Amino acid sequence: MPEEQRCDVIVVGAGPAGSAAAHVLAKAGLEVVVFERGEYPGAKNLFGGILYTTVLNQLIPDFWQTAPLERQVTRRRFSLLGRDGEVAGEYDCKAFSKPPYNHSYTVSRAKFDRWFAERAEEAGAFIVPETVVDDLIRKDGKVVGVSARREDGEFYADVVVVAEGASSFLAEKAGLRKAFDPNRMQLAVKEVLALPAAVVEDRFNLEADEGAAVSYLGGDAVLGMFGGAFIYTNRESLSVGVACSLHDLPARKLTPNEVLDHFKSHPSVRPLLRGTETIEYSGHMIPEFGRETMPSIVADGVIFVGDAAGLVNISPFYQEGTNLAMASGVMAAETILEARRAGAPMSAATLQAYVRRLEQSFVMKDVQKYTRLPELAARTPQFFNRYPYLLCDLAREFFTVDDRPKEEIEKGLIRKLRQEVGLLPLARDLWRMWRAMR
Amino acid sequence: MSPTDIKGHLEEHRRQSVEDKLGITEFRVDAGNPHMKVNPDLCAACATKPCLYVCPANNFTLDAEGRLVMSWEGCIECGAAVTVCHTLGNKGLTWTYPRGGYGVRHTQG
Repeated sequence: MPEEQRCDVIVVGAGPAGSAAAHVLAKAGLEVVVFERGEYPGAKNLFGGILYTTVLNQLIPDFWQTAPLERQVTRRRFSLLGRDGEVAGEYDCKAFSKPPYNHSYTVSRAKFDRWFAERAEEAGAFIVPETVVDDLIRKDGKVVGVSARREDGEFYADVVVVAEGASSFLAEKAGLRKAFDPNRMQLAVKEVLALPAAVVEDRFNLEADEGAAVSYLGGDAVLGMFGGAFIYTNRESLSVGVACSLHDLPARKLTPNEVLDHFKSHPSVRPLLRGTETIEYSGHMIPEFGRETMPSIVADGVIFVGDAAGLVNISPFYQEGTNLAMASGVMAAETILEARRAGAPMSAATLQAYVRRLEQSFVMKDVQKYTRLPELAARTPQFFNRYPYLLCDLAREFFTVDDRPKEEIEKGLIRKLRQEVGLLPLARDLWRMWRAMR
Repeated sequence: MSPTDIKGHLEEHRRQSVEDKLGITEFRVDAGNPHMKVNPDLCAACATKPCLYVCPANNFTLDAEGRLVMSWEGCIECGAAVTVCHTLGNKGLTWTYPRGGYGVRHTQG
């Protein structure tokens, strides 16, 4: 094999996980080649979300002075939609407007991921865009390189870091993961809606540079399916989307675009989107494997990081992915560097140290903590198709102005709750939910 | 109160079609080089056809005779169709990433 087709480490994918791994490895002096299938890093990437930046700040101190960020998230809102109303709670914190901005930002991934990949490049990594990796090359059972879709497409390295993203075809081809469980895979669709910065700030009660994140849990946001919806404020746009389980969409014979249109036209949502213009439409899967159904994330000569490893915190209150991706990329790189220092082969046994690093950190601890949520959701769909509606009905009765004495109204609420669900079943469900998140 | 009857509800509102949304999204189409294909026999024998309900771009539809029709140029590469096809469907869909540099191109993300 020609010498130029060989390097120390190949990274597949220049998203947050791949670029973080490449950054650390290149900085330590290794020869790193990153294959990215997009025209530029970020061209295929999106999230509906918040970039949490504790890991990023260790990698690139004071990144906020140079990174392309949209707004720092100071306002968090959680909402349950009924058919014609909303019950919501909100937290706003002015301390989050000061450095380090609670390590929470909205970003445009097409811009941020490109910037982040350029920092890896600056550290010495070699990024090859417009190149799909179709397969891993194995020799005697060990991964020794990748087969890229280009002329002379075989590239070899001591170890391959797969940061391929949620579809994770390479893991499937390598026999390291089974077919996805549709109950543990969410599909998100999103629109970016242009809106002048001053309107964004007035509408969401923000100062300049401050941002809001609105999470809608189940209910009419997703027509009672297992999932939710979101609105994030960018500088001059809103990211608006829905995410539903891949099991529920066909079961209900609803398409994601129909669910998104329904959400956008909900009477409690529509005013927030008034006067906006759609500038991009996109979709992405969110792996919710949890710990138990997680694929093998190391094998001889290969490490999986980020979404490709299913490292997502699916808690409805946090919903973290990009920071777990960066953390896993850094830990994969540290594991490789440690193995090289020790002169150890890049075997599954050596690379198991990566799994131990994840387990000792917030990454696997948080994945583990919420691992039972998808099962709970499948078993108790009432959290999505019943309780949000019921809560809105109860709130409506509580606030409806008439000449009934308040005591009678309150008794009526308890009566309705007994009739519709029963206090015992409700207590049981809430207990189950609490148990599933500890 | 139960979830809204969506089909009725949507009729009440002016909607932007999927075609409109794809129209404003950037693509670099690899003309004549589809990155996905369906096996007509397997798809004809598929009772559930879950691909019809998960594709954000409505790339899977039925013709007048009830046969599955696939288009690929407006694929936003989410991976949902192939996922449900291989688990809830009849495994008739083959899907790979488009050639490097082609396909959907996010400028926002």
